[in-house]
Parts: sequence; structure tokens; C-alpha cells
Amino acid sequence: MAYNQIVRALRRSLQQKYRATQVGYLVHTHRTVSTVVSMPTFHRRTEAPISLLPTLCCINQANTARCFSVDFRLRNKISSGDRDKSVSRFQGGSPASSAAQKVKNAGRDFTYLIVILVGLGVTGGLLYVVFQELFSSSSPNKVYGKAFNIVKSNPEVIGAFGEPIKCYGETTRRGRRQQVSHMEFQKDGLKHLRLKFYIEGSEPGLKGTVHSESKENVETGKYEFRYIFVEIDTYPRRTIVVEDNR
Amino acid sequence: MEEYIREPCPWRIVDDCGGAFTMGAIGGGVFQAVKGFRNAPAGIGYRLRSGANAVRVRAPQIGGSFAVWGGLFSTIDCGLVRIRGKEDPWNSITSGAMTGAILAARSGPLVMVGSAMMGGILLALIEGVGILLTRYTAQQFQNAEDPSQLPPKDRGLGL
Repeated sequence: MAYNQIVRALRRSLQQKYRATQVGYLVHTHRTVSTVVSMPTFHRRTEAPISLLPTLCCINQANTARCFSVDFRLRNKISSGDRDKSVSRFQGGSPASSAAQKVKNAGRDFTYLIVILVGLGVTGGLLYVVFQELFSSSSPNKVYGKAFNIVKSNPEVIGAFGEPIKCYGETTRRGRRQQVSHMEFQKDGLKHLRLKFYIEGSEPGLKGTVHSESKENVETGKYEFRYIFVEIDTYPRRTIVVEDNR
Repeated sequence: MEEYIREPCPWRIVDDCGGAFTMGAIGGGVFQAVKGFRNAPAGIGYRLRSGANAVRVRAPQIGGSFAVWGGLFSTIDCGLVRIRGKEDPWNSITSGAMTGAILAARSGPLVMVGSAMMGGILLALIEGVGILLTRYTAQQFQNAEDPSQLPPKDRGLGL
């Protein structure tokens, strides 16, 4: 949709730029059909007589895409019945309507511009959020990756869960488990980040919950783990402490 | 929260396929109805008939192409989860890009790259919405519970 609107706006500006030359040309060659001068927008619903068609098509092809002229010809063929009526309608207010037309066009362009700008703003904001989440070293996602790497290489965890260990976050309604539940808070003026995610190994029916907390280092500004421990959720419950730097 | 839910992965493909078909059929149906209504000869009867006809012809096609996209996307996503053993936003973004590339494979490598970028950006946007939602809900949880009371809960760490 947005793409279409952009294309349409571009096309209109092109047409506005070229209209003057077209009109001059047309008036010179076909005196009888001076009504074309007042045609507000060139594409859609052109009321030009059939005799004009080749020239129009040529100009059109030079200016815009080729498929456009095909569309134009079809429309012309279909709407040739009510051609005269429309022409007479436009004949009435040819010089006077230009100012109103300009205002109308400007208003429409402005609306489209606002829509495009809002869309771009929203897109940019969301992309910023995503890139911050994926690439900044203090994002929950990065800390999650680091914590999982530490947990994965811990021999006690491997012994309990079995070798290919996989991890996931909270399950959403649509079966996605990508979002890790996290909590950020300030303690003693330092930022803390607490994470909770789940791991599973090759042992069937065995699930574990990993809790971790990391604290911002004062000098480097990066997160360092305070503790990581794994709770086994199924019956012989126990806790494996992977790292404890408190 | 459902703790003992079964593994979502292979079933999710069917789920996503159907969801995408529904979404495409309904959304495309509305769109095509409006388009057919506007693009008809004058007269309310013609307009209604043209709208209904456009929906009948086009909506299943749109739903089908949505379903292909959703199914392929979910398949690649599950494959990546299986290979990497990790579920994070990268899976979605990568599989969105790969889906775009695969579905444009017949139009040549340049189109494939463009389509892959479109898919990746689209999925990145969706992930962005998801991340924002999680952050928002996390903010709510933080207000609900007091963080300073939680550290004594780590009973295994008291040594």
C-alpha cells in the first residue's frame, strides 16, 4: 500500500512537470480539442478523443512506464461512450479551476507526505529497537546468548541433561519461544539485569529453568554475571550452580 | 503459563500455514471487495456483483500465496531452531529473508536479494513489535514485585 502511494505521488509530480509541454503540443496540433488543456490529471479517465491517442501514448511512454499506456488505452475504449459529457464538464471551468485544483493537489500531496513520513518514522523506530536488541552488548538478548553459552559448556549441566542442550524463552500464544523474560532494575546505583529462560537436553522429559543476574561493571559499562544457576523442574529437584560471583 | 506444553515445533508449521491462509483470505477478500466495487460499471447491482466476483476469484489466490509464505517461513524457522538449538529473534529474521529468497528463486539472483531483504526487514519489524511488547509487560511486572526481596530466594547460593 505505502509503496503504491509513493509511486503514485512520484507519478503525479512527473505529470505536473510535463503537463505544460504536453498541453502546448496538443493545442498546436489539434486545435479542435482545446478542452484537453483543462484536464486535471492526465492518467485515469482521460477524455481525449481517439484521434489523439497515438500522440498521447507516445508522450506517455516517454514519460512513464509502458504498462501505463496500455491501461490508458483500455480505459479509453471503455469510456468512449460518455466521453462528450465529461469533456463538456471540464470545458466549463477551465481557467478558473486551476487555482482550486492546485490547492486540492497540494493538499493531497501533503496528506500523502504525512502518511509516508509517519510510516517511515514507525519503521525506523522499530528497526532501531531491533538493532539495539540484537547488537548492543547490554541487551537482554545478548546476555541471554552469553548465559546460554556458559550453561551449555558446564559439565554438571551436561551430565544432568544430556549433550545437545537447547534453550528457549517464554512460549507465546503462537508457539514462538523467542522472548526471554527479563527484568532490569537499579540497585546501589548500578544497573542489574535478571533473566529467566529454559533449557532442555537429550534426556526425555527433563526440563530446567536457568536464572541469572548480571550487574553492570562500573569501569567498562558492560554486564558481568553475578550468578547463574539451573533449577531442574522435574521430580528429583535440585539446583546446579553454574557461576556465583557474589 | 503452560509448563507442560509439548514441543511447538513441527506442529507450528501447519498452524502457521492455516493462520496465514485465513489472514490472506480475509484481508485479501476485503481488499478485493472494495476494489471490485469501485472498478465496476455504474449501478449498485453491477457494483455488488463485481465486488463479489472479485472476492470469489482473487481471495483464495491471495490466501494461498500467504499460506505458502507462512508455511515455508515456519519450516525454515523450525529447521533453524533444530540446527542452532537456540530460539531467539535471529531465527525469525533469517528465515524471513530465506523465504523471500526462495520464493523469488525463479526471477534471478538480483530479485532474490531484493526479496530477501524485504522479507528480512519485514520480519525484523514484526520482531521489533514483539520485543517492545515484552519490554512493556516486563515493565509491568517490575512494578508488581519488589526486586530487593528476591535475592534471599536463591537458596542454593547461600554458601
